[in-house]
Amino acid sequence: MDCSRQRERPIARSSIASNPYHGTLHSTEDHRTDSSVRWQFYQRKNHAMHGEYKIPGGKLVVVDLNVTDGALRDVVLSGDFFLEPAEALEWMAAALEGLPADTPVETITERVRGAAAHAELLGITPEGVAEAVRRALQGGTA
Amino acid sequence: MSTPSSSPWRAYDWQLIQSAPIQPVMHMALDETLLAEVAAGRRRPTLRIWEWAASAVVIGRFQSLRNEVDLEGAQHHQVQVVRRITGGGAMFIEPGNTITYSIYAPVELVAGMSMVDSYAFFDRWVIDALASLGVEARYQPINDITSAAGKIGGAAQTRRNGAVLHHVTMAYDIDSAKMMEVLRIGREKLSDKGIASAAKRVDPLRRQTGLPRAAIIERMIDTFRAQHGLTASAIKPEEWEAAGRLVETKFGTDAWLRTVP
Repeated sequence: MDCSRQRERPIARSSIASNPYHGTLHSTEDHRTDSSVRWQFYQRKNHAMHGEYKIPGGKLVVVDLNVTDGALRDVVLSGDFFLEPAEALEWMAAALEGLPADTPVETITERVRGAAAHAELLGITPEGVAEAVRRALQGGTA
Repeated sequence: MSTPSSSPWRAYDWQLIQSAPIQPVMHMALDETLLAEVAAGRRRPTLRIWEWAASAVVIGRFQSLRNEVDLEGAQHHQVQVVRRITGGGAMFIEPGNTITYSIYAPVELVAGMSMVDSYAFFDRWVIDALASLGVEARYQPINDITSAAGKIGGAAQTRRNGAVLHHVTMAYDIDSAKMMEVLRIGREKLSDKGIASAAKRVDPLRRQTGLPRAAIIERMIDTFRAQHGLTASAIKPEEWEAAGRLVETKFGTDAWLRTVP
């Protein structure tokens, strides 16, 4: 992990001035916690595939992923939608991790629907996530 | 507009916070802190009017940093990049160009309402305030405040431990050229309504009203007070301390900024 630097950042300084924004690397994950919130820190990965889908009447859903040995890996889901709780973002991404790349879009939809069963979704749908995945797999490079 | 006696807002003694300009990252932390304070019952429901001490890009909780922000452009223009706790889209902020506020309330205020309906509910008073200034603003679901001439602002919410945070940024004025240099706005985002959150044909309040920014804020506060009641308040020392800790442990960290890389 290369997380030591941010500790030294003075509060008032520009948050970008000292960001170690560099082109690393692998999928080490780290779970950060404070008094009220847990969040996931992904080291920057080089994703080979990128798909975007603007849900009609909803929000933009973005999927970045790699395909390794025919399976979805390093799946990152993002967009300008709303989720409660926030952890549902990780639940949905985790449901896609390891799926065969030839998984039918209906199956992807159901996987995401199951993962988000206990979440509130606004501006994002399981169908929309599946469409973004389909586009990533068809579209190739980011 | 409902009469005061029947308004669910009137069940609370609303507090107003207007503080001096503060850093964007501290604004992020104050939102989490004050939401937690209202949730815990240590603070009464509150309206906070923001003043910005620096330019910023504020990205949504679920947005990808690298997909949304041109970090070199942001650095070039000395624009800070921060991530907020609510979903929604990236906002480009310059002090004096935006009007931003937060509402911290018990979820009982919007009990029985859908999420979509609650967005419009929380900003009804702002629509009324703008109407009193001659701006025919309306709510465009899910979370846009718009007018015939263009988008005015956007809202975002999150709920935690029985409390809801609803915050809004409206454009008072806008430097579109600079915005396009710090935000990345993809074509797919433009595909649906032909407009993107950040690049939607924005028609700022300055052009629509011809009024100073402070005058619009004053009218907003007057309208809130008239409709819901409002008592002057301040951020407590322990709230500043809690927010400062959150800047150090969360909002000021690269880990939080890149929680969605």
